[in-house]
Amino acid sequence: MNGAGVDTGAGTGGTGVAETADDHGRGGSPGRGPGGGRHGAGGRGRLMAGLRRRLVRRRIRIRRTRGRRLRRALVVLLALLANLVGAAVVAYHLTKIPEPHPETAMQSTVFVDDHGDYLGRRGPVDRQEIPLSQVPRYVQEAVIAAENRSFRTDTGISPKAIARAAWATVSGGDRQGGSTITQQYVKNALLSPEQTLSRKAREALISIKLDRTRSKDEILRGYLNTVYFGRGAAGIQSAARNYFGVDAKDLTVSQGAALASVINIPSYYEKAGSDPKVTAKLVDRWEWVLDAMADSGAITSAQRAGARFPAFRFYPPGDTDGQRQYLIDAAASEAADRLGITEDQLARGGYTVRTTFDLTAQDTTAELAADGTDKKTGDKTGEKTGEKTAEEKAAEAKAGGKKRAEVKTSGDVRVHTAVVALVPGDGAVRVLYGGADYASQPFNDARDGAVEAGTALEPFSGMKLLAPLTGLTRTAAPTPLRLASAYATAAAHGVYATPYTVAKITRAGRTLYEAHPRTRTAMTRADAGTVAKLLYGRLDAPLATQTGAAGLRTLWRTAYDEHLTLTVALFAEHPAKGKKAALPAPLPYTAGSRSLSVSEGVWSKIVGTAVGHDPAAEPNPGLPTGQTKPILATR
Amino acid sequence: MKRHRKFPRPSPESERLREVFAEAAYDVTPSAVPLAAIERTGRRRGRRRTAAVAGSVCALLVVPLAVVALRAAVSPESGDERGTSPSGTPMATVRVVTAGERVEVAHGIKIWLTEDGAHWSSAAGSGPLFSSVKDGADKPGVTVQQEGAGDRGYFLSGVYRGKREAARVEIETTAGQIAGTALTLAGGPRWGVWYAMVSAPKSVAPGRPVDVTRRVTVYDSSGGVTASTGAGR
Repeated sequence: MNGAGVDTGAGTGGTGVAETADDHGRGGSPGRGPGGGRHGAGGRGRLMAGLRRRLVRRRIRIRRTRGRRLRRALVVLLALLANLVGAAVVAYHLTKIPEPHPETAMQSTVFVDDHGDYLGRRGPVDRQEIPLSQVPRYVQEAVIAAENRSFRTDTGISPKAIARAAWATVSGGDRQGGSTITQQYVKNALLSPEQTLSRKAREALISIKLDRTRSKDEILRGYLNTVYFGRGAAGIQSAARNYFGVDAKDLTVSQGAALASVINIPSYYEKAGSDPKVTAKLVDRWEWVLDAMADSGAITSAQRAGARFPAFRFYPPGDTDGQRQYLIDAAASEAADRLGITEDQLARGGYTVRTTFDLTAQDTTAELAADGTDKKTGDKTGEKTGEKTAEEKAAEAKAGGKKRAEVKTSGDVRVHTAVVALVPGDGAVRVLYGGADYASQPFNDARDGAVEAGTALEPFSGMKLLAPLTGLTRTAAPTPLRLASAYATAAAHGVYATPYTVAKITRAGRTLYEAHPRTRTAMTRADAGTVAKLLYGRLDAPLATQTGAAGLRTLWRTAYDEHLTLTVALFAEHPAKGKKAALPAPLPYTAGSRSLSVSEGVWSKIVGTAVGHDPAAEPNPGLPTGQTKPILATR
Repeated sequence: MKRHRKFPRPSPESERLREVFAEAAYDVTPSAVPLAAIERTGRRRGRRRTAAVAGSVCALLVVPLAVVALRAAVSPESGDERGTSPSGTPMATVRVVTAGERVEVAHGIKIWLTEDGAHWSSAAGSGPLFSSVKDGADKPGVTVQQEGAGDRGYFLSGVYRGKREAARVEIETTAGQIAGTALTLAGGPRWGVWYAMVSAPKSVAPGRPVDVTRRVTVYDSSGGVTASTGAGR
């Protein structure tokens, strides 16, 4: 009230006096008569009028000073802007482009067979770098269409993209990121993934600087090699393998667009193919990417019209037969040796190791070895039968209920099969079967197992073998690989070729190593001829064969011609129990037929000509010629 | 000085006119200022401004909410009901496998492909079965094999070899038409394995072998038949 009095006092003299009097009157005792009430009502009216006048005056004052105040605000804003720009320029010059952090520099090494079929990989992350030239142009354009359409022209950041992403989020359009490809690359590869304002600012500055100092292709290459695609795959090469089972260079337009669509929410889209809802959403996004590609001219309208949503691999992928790790073990140690690095360095190095193995023949070998155990050694071993040991059951459980070639189904005798197939005069190892399942027996019987030779080396007795076969005939228990290489020498007319499993090593498109046969004469041509004469038996025999044995403990079978040498070794043992070491055991009666079936089956698989019947193909339901309809079994 | 030059001294006639007008103006009584009208106009303008600001604020709040609500109402339907691709063709049921990759396609039944053919293994079977695609003719066709799967019915499968890449498989059975899945190796070979589960016909005693497959047709991505078992029986 005092305030009101003072304010109204600023007005005309009369009013000011009246209001002051009223103010005092209202401050008096509450026991006032009706006259006092009337007086009070009049005072309230005057007070209201005074307030109104004050308001009017204030409005007038505001109106009169509006221009001045606007000018002041503008000056303040300009000063602020100038400061911000100055700070940004200084920050830009002080910002350094960091090195990629170690996690993104890590890669894995991939092993493939001699046809390029994927064997497996070693390494902490599923990522392999490839040059941009190995990524088809339409795949690059698909990624640009999906993630950052202004990539080729923007400055590393794109305010328009941010606005568009915000609008897409609100309007329900296809989800778009506000970050450019450059920003995403900076975030993924150069900075930590934390979501703070300062990191975002740094990301923007580095992106601008990166864009000004590196070419767009360099940035795109870095991005494509590091971005996460789901299914554990970082980078386009691993993604192509995990989603479609092909190398990035072999991706089709449809597959490229699908992978580009996945980048947006990889943890969601990785289920594409198995989850109908996810697949339907990915189809939408895939169409959207293809439309954008067609609009930008990256693909023709015919390519757009002909595009069909691609078929995906299973996720998680199916298992393999437990053979791959044996092959990878052998190839990894050899590859590391050839490059002069450790196996750990090899695993992290991002190499592609092309091996000499024939995966189809290896699979056939595993099947034949397993088949022989179950079907033919069954209850006919002559050994005592009984319950499986706990270790055997545990091993079977670990192997996922797979058939076990090395664990006999009856008794406590374990039958081992080792198979080696190599190319005479060259040394390339096509098959190296040294155990049924790496998980339960990582030791490779074919490469490292000493198997009692018995009569298996008799054809060489009395011959003078030169290095590195010197002393072989005096060796009581050679490895199947060494024995096979001796017969391969005979097959190559006395030329010994060092067995090798690595044909080529590449990294990022560059060949680092290529195998060349390392040969030397290890026996005379005459001696090789003698062996051949002995083993071919008759003149028209298609191949030389030799069987040898050490009592009932081991059985060897070697077959060769000028193109292939194949050795099968069988031996049996009582497995180690507690402190009791493993002991040799007699082979089952069926070992001979098993050795023969494995030998003939693998030979026909590799060479393509059957030397006998193919037991694996016995229950063949027939070629797809029409109406064949056998009923296989009923459960 | 410059100002004087800019505004020259008025002419005597103008001076005289000014004096006449001034004298006349002394007699004029100014009308009352239309304060009420001015006030009314001002208030009206104020109300309009308030309404405009309030409307803008409301629109800013309501429009995004409405858009989000609309999205929420529309999107689940479009996601769930999508069984076909936008072009109207059924969604592809082809899966890619790598050589030797064992895929469990039904209870205890595994299939894997190698470059030379297809392999099957089942928990009940004695060993892997193999069907070669290397030794046979290149003629398109489909084989059919059937395995009882207890209460679940029958597991149907076979090898197909087509003129073009497969996009979907349809199986005509005694229980009606069902969609199958095709497995093929990466790289687009024109052969692969198809499979499906079908429930046993009610008229047949469980476990009794019965031929449930009438026809298997493999279509390519354009909807054309790339391989089939031939005419239905």
